[in-house]
Amino acid sequence: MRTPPELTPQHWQRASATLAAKMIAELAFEQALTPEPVEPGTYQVTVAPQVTYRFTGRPLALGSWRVDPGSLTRCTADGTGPADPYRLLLDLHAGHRLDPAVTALTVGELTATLTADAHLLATGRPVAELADLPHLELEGHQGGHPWLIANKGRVGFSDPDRAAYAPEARPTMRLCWLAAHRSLATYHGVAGLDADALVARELDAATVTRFTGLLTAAGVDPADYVWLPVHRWQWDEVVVPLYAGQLATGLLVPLGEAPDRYRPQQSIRTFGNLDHPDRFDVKLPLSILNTMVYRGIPDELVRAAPPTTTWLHALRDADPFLRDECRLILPGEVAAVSVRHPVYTELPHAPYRYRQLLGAIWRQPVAAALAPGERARTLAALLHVDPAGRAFVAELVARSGLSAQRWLAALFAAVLPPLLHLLYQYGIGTNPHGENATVVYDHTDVPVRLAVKDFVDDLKLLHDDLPEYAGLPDQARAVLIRCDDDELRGSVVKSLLFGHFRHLAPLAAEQLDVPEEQFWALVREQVLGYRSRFPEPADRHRRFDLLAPTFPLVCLNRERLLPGGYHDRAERDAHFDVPAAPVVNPLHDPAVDR
Amino acid sequence: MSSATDPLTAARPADAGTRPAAAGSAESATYTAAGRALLARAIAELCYEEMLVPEPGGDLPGRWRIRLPHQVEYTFHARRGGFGAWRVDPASIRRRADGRTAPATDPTRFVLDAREVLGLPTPALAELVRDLIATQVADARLRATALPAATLADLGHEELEAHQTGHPCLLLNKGRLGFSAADADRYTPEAAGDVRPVWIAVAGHAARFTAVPGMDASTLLAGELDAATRAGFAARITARGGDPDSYFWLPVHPFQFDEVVRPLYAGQFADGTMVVLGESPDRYRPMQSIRTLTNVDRPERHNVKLPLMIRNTLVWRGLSAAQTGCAPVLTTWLCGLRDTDPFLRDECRVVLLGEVASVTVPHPVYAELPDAPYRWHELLGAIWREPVHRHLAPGERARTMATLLLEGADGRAVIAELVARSGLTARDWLRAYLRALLPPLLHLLYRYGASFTPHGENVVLISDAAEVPTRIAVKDFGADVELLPFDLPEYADLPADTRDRLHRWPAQDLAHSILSAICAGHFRFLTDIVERHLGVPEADFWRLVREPVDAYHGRFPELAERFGWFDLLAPEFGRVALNREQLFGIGFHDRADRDAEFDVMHGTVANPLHAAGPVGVIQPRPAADGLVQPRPAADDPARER
Repeated sequence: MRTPPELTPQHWQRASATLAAKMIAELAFEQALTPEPVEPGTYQVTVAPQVTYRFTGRPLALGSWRVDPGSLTRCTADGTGPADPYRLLLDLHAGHRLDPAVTALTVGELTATLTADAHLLATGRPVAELADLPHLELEGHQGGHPWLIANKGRVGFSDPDRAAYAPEARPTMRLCWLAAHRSLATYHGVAGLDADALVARELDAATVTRFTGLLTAAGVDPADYVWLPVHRWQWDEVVVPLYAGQLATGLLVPLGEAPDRYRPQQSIRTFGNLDHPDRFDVKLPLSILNTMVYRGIPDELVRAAPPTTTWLHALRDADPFLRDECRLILPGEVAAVSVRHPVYTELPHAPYRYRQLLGAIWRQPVAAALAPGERARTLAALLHVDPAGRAFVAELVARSGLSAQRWLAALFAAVLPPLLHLLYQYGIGTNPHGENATVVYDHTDVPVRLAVKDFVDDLKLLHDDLPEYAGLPDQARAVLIRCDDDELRGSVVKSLLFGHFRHLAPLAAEQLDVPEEQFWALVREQVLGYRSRFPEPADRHRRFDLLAPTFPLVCLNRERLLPGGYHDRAERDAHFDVPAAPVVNPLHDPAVDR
Repeated sequence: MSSATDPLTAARPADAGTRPAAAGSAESATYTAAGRALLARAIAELCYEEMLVPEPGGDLPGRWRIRLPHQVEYTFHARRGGFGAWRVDPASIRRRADGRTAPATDPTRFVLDAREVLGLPTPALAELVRDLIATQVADARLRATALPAATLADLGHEELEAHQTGHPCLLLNKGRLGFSAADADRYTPEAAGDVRPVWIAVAGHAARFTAVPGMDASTLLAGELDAATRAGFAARITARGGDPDSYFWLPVHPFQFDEVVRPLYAGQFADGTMVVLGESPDRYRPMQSIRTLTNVDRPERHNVKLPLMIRNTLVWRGLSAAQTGCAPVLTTWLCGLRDTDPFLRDECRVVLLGEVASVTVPHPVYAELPDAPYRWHELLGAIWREPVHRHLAPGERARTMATLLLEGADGRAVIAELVARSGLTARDWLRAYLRALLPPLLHLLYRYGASFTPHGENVVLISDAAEVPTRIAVKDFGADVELLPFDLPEYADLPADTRDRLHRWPAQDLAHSILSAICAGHFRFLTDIVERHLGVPEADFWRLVREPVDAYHGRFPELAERFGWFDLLAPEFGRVALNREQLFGIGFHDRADRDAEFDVMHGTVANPLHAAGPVGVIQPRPAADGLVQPRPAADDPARER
């Protein structure tokens, strides 16, 4: 029982300085703060009356800001001192009259984030080593959501939980299995993958025999039960407390651990199999609040996962561009078990976290889709900077032997065309943020193609039924989010441009010598190239115009700081209205675009 | 997570003895029985607070019906008691829905059926369900470990705590929101497990230590930790580059350490303001309040009251800095009163369990957010309280007053066992009990204008070697002592800043410390036990209660004006509606002040003390010992089943 080794003044202060700078930068992007020039290269923002923060940095495209971490100072009538994330939050609280309950919870989330960041600093390795790591190992070194301030809040995790379950702790975990009576649970699988086939694929015969024996010994008929893994945290914090009656009456029967070892991915609740990489990834509900939402899986989404996968795969397999040119990988959510809660099912207006307690989704691992010599890394990895300050992307570019421009062009050519094709040809918005999008590299570390995941949770369709939705299965139709044109375009604008390229561009400028304008010009080339290749349907290019003069701003951090940002609402994706001016689109060329 | 508390791993082949529950199993039967009893309590208490209004339910006397929306109705047998209490027979409850009638055992189903009548918003209902399930699980555990009354009567004060059934008024009395299943296995009183607090050191500038005169931090630590342990802990501080003498040391509940202190004070651990010292070598047991721990290995060492960020019953169970800091000051004041007042000192011989020292550790960020919900201001601190053992004379035994409500696994009440052991008649035993209980509380209220919350957990009943109640011990000063809104001369010795920090309520509100905490909150249930197990009719019990009240009034006529202020014999008083407060308070836990208002009241109840009449007037049943005709066999608890 000792203080964790990463909790040293040095790591803590460095993590604090970086986080404070990120807070200023991201809140400036979201127009909550307005930097004003003081002298060349130096800016200040007024956070509260008589409280300003001063920094060196520069404005970036999309209304974004670079804030040099070491430069940030807090200035008041009493003098100037170093910036600190807590003091900054308190200043924001005073200056913007935040809800005290929200600010109080944010203090906890900031602390959890700093603790994780200190751990990452203490255990960080040079990017030259990270570039050699397999996909799953690399996940444990990433710093989390680049846009959200409190990006590792994990509200609900204790200190030992963090050590046992957080991705940066790089734990090796075995999954526990549970048998759920068919009166509560249903299995859903794609064609050819029934419950028995799934179990046979995921568990070895001895384990199946052991689990079956437990059920028989309990005096129940194994055929009446569906099996699923449960996260230990969820078991202890949620399942046993809330399903106590079902455990008491034998409707739920714990089966024990299965032998395979798993590793959590960045999403915390999705696990990759270390012992049998060909076995499925497993996505499990975890009722912690992290970044934007509680991380359960709603029953209705669980049920819809396999049919949604079947539909998407059919689209891809029938489309020569996606199939043969992009060779797009869509890690299928091929099987799922949903387990209803007998009481909360009757309370449809309960806060959403009560309606996503228990279930599992099995997903095809990206690794299984790779050709020999290929390797996969999440898009987020490209934003990683090691403790010495070197960017992961710089290491990959160096290894490829390509010029930085050509390498970036290859990246954009791998990432954009399939996403644009889904958007324009099918009216489908994915959510290709840094964790959901995986870049596949050839053996020379040149990006060649894309995998994009998280369908049932994140896919968006238009309100109006496009002809391309004709084959959509009813289960998917019932649950997939429907949205307007702007929001569908947001699948690229919000997730990719705001959520990733906005942060990659300054790294490219600083470490690859690719100026920002050139970076965005390379992105624009891909959009133009796609448009000339597929000019139809022309109206969709207009409706989802990526070359428009401006984009509406999305304010993730401000949403979190609003009253009610802490989720007693019934709808997970309730709409928040945060007024903000549109931002100038760096892909727009006023000389050419209308 | 140890394997013992992890049913999933417990099912591994190495533990082949572990078998999951199945329909028809003992676990299932126990869970159902707990549900049936909880359902009866839900009906009784929600009807008492008039959230539900039953109507006579058919031809049988004592049969009642609650009609609910959607053609659902519940029928049950109930006796009525003082205050309009409902004594619902659990086995009699039936639910009619969809034209079918069946025995009802599921309190959650009942709450869902009644949700429109209860008028709760859905988010509150969602939490209520969670609390209700947690309570049923805890009740099932209590049933599974239940002991016969005679065995319970043999248990010591601490062991007995593991068998108490919780707040009798509250439906959701063991919710412990925040505890996982493993936490419940480790840290709840009914789990009866050993808890080892984690000691930490906090730099002097970041903490505040308060103690009674004659006690300082090093004296306290010398009593609480052995020299070798102290040396080892000091070495931890030295190793982190600190000076052990410039730190305050305090124990932290292991749950709080993992869930709150380590996560939220990470910056302080990083910069050396706080240092982890290590696990307590002594084992502790949780008392009924969960957050007060008593030392198993060294019972003479202090009880420690520690903050826990769980929400149980009505509030989050942290320790507010104000209350924690006040505790030693209040202790000094109260003990001073007792020691200079011959009535309290020599006649009542009341024991005040002194809160002799406390440490508060404000969180540097939350301290600057005074508007934050109160739980964020109660994260870290400790109160050291004298254990009751220190005050017991040879042969004396102590049990919380809540014990008198306990029924053993054999269906026999503990009070019946105690009466039998004493050799007294039931009435004489009850007289002794009431004489021990009421005079000191009345004196503190009338003479000193100070009230406690003397509910069943806060009052410890002390009996002599013959199991006759002789006196009481009272505890929980920092949290529960309240004063009149104006300054009495008797407050003179209490420092002004402490006076300002205490809750100040009008006399009629302070009177609730007797009327609601004891009469409506304890006697309302005790009368049922006394009727069923001791054969003493409720009306007789209230006359017995009236005796020491009248005797006190006769003894201290100079306080007559104050008797009028508090008006304990008024015909009626406000009904404290704790379930209403709890249920409608869900969703309001983000307020900054824990006790923004006095208890929620709903209507009034008739005061049985008024109805009982003064002793001198009750001619038909003279109060003097031996003149009351016992009903046949009623005072022989052995024949009462």
